Amino acid sequence: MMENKVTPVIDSWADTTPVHECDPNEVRSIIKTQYALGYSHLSCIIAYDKDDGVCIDYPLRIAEEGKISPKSIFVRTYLPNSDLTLDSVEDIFPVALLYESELQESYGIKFNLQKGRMSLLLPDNFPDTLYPMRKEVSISHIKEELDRLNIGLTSSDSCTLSDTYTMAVGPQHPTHKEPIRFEFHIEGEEIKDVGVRIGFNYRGIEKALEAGTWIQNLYLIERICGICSSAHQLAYVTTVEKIIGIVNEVPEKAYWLRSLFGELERIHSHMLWYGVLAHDGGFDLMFHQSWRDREIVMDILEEISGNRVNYSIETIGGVRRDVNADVRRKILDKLLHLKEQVLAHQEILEKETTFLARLEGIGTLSHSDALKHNVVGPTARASGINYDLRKEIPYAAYKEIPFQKQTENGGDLYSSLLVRIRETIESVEMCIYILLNLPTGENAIQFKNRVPEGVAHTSVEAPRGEDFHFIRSLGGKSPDRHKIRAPTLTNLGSLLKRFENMQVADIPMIIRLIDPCIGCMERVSFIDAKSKKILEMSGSELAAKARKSHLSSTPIKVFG
Amino acid sequence: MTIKQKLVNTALSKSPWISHLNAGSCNGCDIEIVAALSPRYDVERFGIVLKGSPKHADVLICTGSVTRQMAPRLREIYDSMSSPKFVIAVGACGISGGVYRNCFNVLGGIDKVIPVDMYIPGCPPRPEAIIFGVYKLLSKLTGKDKEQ
Repeated sequence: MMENKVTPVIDSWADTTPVHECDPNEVRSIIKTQYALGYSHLSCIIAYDKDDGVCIDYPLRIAEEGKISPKSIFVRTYLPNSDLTLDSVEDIFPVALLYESELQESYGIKFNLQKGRMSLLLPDNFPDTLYPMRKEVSISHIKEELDRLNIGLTSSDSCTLSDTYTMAVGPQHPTHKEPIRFEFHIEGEEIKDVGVRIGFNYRGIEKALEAGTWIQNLYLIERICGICSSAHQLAYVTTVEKIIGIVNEVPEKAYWLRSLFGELERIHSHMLWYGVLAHDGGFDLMFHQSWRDREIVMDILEEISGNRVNYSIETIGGVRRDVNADVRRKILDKLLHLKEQVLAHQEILEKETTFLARLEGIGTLSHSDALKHNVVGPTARASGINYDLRKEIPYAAYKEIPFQKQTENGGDLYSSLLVRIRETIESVEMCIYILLNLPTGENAIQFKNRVPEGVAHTSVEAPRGEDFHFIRSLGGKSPDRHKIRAPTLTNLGSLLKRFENMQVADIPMIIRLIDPCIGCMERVSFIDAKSKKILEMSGSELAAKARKSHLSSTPIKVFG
Repeated sequence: MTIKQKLVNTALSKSPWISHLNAGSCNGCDIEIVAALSPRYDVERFGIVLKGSPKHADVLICTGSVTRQMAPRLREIYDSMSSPKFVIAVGACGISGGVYRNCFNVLGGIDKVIPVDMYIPGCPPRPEAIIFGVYKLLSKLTGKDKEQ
């Protein structure tokens, strides 16, 4: 069955990731063996059309700092179109439930999932026989078909509440202010069960990427997410550079500037996060202070790139903008001022006892649970997982920039705050170091608009965690397959775990724990587990109620 | 314009309450809208207050290219607002689908689903542009834009 040519997967700078090819019925046992060896993190499940079937890749990596080499491996199998069934690995990796349900929807691969097929990304009433990611289906065909069936043009009520537990997540999941629906099943004050439906923001970017050219895709990828735009772009250009084989030719200065943008982005994202967290905890003064000082970073970004949000700084072969001596001096002044401000924020946030009382012991996730649920980013480091991609698999110029990994052991909201605020300070110092030690030379080498045949993947540490990109090129004008896994996808599984036995008043704070903006956007539904009464409430109403109940130390009254 | 209409418009232009909805955007516009509420730009000095529930709002600030899953909900949220109501579309993708126009799951533009009163272009527009857009809408209400 595996007579196809083996394409090695290119990992960090010069290495290749080993690929274990196997028959579909062996996948589960091989993954189990690898899990026992220490490859206990499943980044995502990748599928792509190959000949008359679908190729499935399981990228596995170590979950914590460790000595095992290599740090990541691929398990690959091939399914012919005549038999698209595969064993589920849900019992090994709970998060695989999301990835497998996604493949069922987009490729029609059938997994023997315990809870059956779920609606994840695609709109309600999406035709069951149309698999949008398959090559034989064109974008125009899908559009025609959806228009014919009036999907999205008529109202539908599939968001009705049910007692069953539904959970979903998207591939180009932009990790913020986006529509998402939770369903909380409560008994008295305690949360008994949570359901979530996403896919409201699913645009179909992965399919559109297959139609765009390599350069056009730069700008679409940047707009996957307005906060992590530089992280997505960086992962994309790094992956393409690996396929072309120009990793060693890209100028040193470009790598340093990429790191600079990565860190500036982390600063503004973390400041945004703790500002909104303070807002939700009823500490509005802190919200305004942090957002006021966040403007300093926005000014710096604008000074270099000319734009506040989507910077378009990366390009294949380097970066598009330079930092001259004049600009460097200006930015350094601003960074020093910013550092003072962030230290002041730290002082307030770590010592304000009323605010701390609101955070401690909320949404706790133990170290073992964090490992089991494959949590990534600052959220994982708050649970004591000592893993930062900038140190483990250094990309850009992180090998040469000194910095400390920040970890905490509490696993609750307070630990999460500590990790993020310390990372902010660390990032400001890294930016200063980069500007003082910036190498001289060219910004970029020319990209000749040609990408050879090849497969590569990159993981970068976006502000919210591991951002995984996988590209398969057939030597054409556009990628054959581009798979993106944003960090919130994995963290969402742990979010639901965090709700277990928490109080209604903690809901807005816990939602904020992994993602800053869902709570204020969304309407949440309360179901009284005894009377089955349903009540709808907006995020801000809930936050107000929670604040009031906290001040008066009385339980929140949702019903009556 | 009837006297009643004039009265309503004048009252409305003094302190419009806004609600914000993401109908499938990248979040870039959304953070710029929040930035407009933060101390440097501070739209509250014009009496503009952000409200969590669209039922309390006069103006719906809407971003995003409108995904097929979101379109019926967008319509529902618009219907739940009390009249008189206004809609501002923020960002290139809210106007025409922008960079997502080739994606299969988007309708491409807020005005495909609900009527829009004001368009603010940009990817994303700066907070100043958003404030200017709201200001233009208010001066349209009071008829001040014709005097100028």
